Amino acid sequence: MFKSFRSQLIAMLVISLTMIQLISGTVILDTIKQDSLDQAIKRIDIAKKVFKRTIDSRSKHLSVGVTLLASDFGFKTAVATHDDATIKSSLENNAKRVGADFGILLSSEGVSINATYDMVYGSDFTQLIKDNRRRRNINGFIEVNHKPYQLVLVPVKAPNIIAWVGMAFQMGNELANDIKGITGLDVSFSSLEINIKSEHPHENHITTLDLESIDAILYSFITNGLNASNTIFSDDKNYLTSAVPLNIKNHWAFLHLPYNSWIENINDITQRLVIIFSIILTLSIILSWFSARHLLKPIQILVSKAKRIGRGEHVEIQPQTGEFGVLSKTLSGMQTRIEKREEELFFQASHDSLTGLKNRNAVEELLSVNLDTSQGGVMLINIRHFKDINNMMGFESGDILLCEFAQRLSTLITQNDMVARLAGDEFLVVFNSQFDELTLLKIHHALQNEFDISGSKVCLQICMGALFFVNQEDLTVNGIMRRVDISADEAKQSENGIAIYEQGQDESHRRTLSIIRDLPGSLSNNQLFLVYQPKVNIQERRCYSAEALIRWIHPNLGFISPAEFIPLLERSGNIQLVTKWVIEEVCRQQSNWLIQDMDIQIAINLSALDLIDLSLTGFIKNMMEKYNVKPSQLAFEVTESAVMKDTKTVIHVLNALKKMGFKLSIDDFGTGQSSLAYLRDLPVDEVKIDRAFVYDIETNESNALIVNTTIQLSHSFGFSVTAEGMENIAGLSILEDYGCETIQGYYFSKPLKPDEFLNWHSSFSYSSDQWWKESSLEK
Amino acid sequence: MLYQANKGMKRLLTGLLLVSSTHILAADLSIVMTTEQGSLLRDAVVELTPINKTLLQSTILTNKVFSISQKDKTFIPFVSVVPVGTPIDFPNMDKTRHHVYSFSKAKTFQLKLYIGKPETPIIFDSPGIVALGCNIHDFMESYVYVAQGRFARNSNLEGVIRFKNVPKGEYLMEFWHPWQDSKLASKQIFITDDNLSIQQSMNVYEEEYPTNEGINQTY
Repeated sequence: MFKSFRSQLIAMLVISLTMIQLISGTVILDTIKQDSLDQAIKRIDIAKKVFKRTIDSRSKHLSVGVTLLASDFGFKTAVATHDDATIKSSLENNAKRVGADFGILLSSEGVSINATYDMVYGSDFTQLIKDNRRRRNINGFIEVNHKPYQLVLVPVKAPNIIAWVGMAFQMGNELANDIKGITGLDVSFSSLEINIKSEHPHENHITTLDLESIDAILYSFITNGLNASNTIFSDDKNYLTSAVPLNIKNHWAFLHLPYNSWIENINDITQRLVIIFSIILTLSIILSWFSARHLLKPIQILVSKAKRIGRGEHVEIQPQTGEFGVLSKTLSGMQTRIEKREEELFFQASHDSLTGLKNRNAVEELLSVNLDTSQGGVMLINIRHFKDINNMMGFESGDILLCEFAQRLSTLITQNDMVARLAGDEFLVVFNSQFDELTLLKIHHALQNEFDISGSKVCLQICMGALFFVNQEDLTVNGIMRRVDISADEAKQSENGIAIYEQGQDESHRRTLSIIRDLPGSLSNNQLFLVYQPKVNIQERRCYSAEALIRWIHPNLGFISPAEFIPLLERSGNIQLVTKWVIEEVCRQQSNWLIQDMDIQIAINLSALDLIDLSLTGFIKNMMEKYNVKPSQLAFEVTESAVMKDTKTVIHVLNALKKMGFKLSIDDFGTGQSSLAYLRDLPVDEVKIDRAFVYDIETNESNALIVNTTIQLSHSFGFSVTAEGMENIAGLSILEDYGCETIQGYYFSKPLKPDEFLNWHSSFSYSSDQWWKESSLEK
Repeated sequence: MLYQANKGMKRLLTGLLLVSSTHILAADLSIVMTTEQGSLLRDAVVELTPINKTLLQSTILTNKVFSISQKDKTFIPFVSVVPVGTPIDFPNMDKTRHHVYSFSKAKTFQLKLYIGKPETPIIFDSPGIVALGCNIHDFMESYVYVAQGRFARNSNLEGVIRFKNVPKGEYLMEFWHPWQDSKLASKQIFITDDNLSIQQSMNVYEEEYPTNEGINQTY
């Protein structure tokens, strides 16, 4: 949460501010609390003084009256003469006058002589008198009938002290209310000892409070130690109470300061402090938010600029002062270096390091952007046999030649056009403007002029494939490159080294690709299957053998001719897979046919690549063992052109096959350049004359001658002969005449599926003679 | 009549005393009275009572008339020591009236509001202490020590009491002071023919002498 610098800054400020505020708030509150407590105590002290003054003034008031009585000569006479009746009436009269609760007369030693309240006789005054006998009057407190009284005693002098006369006020509600009226404090008078022991403690309270409160207050006083200097809170803190001793054992006056309002005041101040604190905190957060933003602005600017630099934009960085200056300078330097490096990288990425021309990436990028395809086109140039030139002249000179070539090529095009070197000797020109065959020829011509490479004159053979954009669809980068590649390939084949892409070339190319791609899958998908064409021995009018031919029905492309896909497979190197599949399939078929009681020799075509595969014989052996097939049941046919390549290995493989006991044939004889003389040395049993010479043998005399000659020659070398492609009975008789042993052709049968072949074979064996009758033509 | 008879008796007794003094061995006794704090104590009364009661016989009545005057609202003197039966005059020197009274058992009397000298002196006819006051002026105070025998005196301003020609013998010595805190126990003393000087302290509370200004005093 506090990841950003700003929030950390603010958090720190808030924490320190909160701590300061908490500390100062606590101190302030403590001070206020202490202060208000001090004030409260002061008020209680004042109240105590008021209380004492009130007591004093009452005692003065009393003592004036009592002194008057004491100095009355009649009273003195009555006392001196022990006239009790007079004394009592005099005391009553005087008590009434001063408002005292009772009057009393004591002997000079303090023994009660007379009183207006009988309970007084239970009290002992001797000690009081003894302690104060020299005084003009005695102000004190006494307990009568468990109640506290304020008492004033004055000596009766004649002129020596003959007695003491006194008046007493009860410390009662009247006094309590008086003091409360002056001080505002509640007042209680209580005898604690009695309260503790008594069953009815309330009876001994005189208070302006309610009795429950005073009970609670007294309880806390007793537990805390009753002491005049103690000022104690009641449990509910409603009252602050201080005790004043009354000089009577266990009798105390209590002054209660209602503390509610003080507490409310403190709470009020606390609330205000909280509000002030909140306001300050809020303000300071806002202030620090803005000031942090102000402080961090340079950094934020730099951060946003760094982000933009990261996105690859060019940013103007204003130099800054202070700590941020270093940062801004660093950032600015960084940007410069990045841009420089980027430029270098970009150049390297888009240019050929040798010739300085654009490279493949650059071209593809150019082609991928919006290209005007209404005119112009592309041209792919290859230098033929450049490898040989390199080998001959050395790589250094080769490089120089490439540079010279590039330079010359650049001068041949307009500024709108672009030249790139795609690879070694491969150059591409993109024409944005006018591009036609004339341009093509002009460039071709110019490039074939000789180059002067360190004194040597070099003439180059150039092939150029071109693609005009006009009327072309699907001009994507891939489409363009593929098509120009196709035309360049074609240019290599063509005589003048120039080829222009034609509509449809791309499609056939794609078909080729899909054939090559799909073949391995087709083997396991039953798309491939074998058909068998009978080979009929015309001399014995029997069919001893047949040729296995492969068929492919592609799920998308439909029927594909072996003439189309076999060369493609030979080129792509997949032909061995197919050959092996055929060998296994034939072996399997043979084992089936053997069960069906058909003994026939099946010929399998081997391609040139099969003949250099030394593992072939091992594979055949395995298959024969697996399906229990005899060597006499298999034969192999190889084309004339196949045996011409890599002769040594081919002869080795052929010898191995021969050794295994297979019959070997030369297929398509007559189409290649081989001579029979060459064939004589091969371990071959049979020659198959290509159908091109056979199919029109009855009408074409020259072909008939070739066939006749070939047959004779073959026989002289010891080869048997099979004629392919015989289509009618007329040809049959001619070939019979020539001494041809075997015929394979539509006259007897087209290639058949295994079941059809079984049927055909049994019917042929049954009535082979029919094929030599004229009527068979009608079939 | 009674007064006349007394007068005659006094004269007789005086003559007897003069005669016997030449015969009987006697000595002077001086007592210095102090407070317990050590300051000299005036108006302390000491009465010597012979243990041998026969000596009482030799007590003689004087016919001298004592007076306790009132001047400046003050009784003068503060303490008077008189033998039993002594008449005392109460001459009023002030311009105001005084009302002298006593509620003491030894002599209860009143001299109601008078100016000048009352017609007859008051005879203090029983031993004891008589406290005198004035009903008009409460602060006025005076004491009369009515002694049984002849050897009773109060100390002078220097706290000294002198008894001259005290006959040889054993005496009970009693003390009193108007401000005494507690009564001091009596002592026995033996008088030889040698002069004797003793010191005696008393426990008294210290008080101002009652004067006109006394009314303003606070306690």
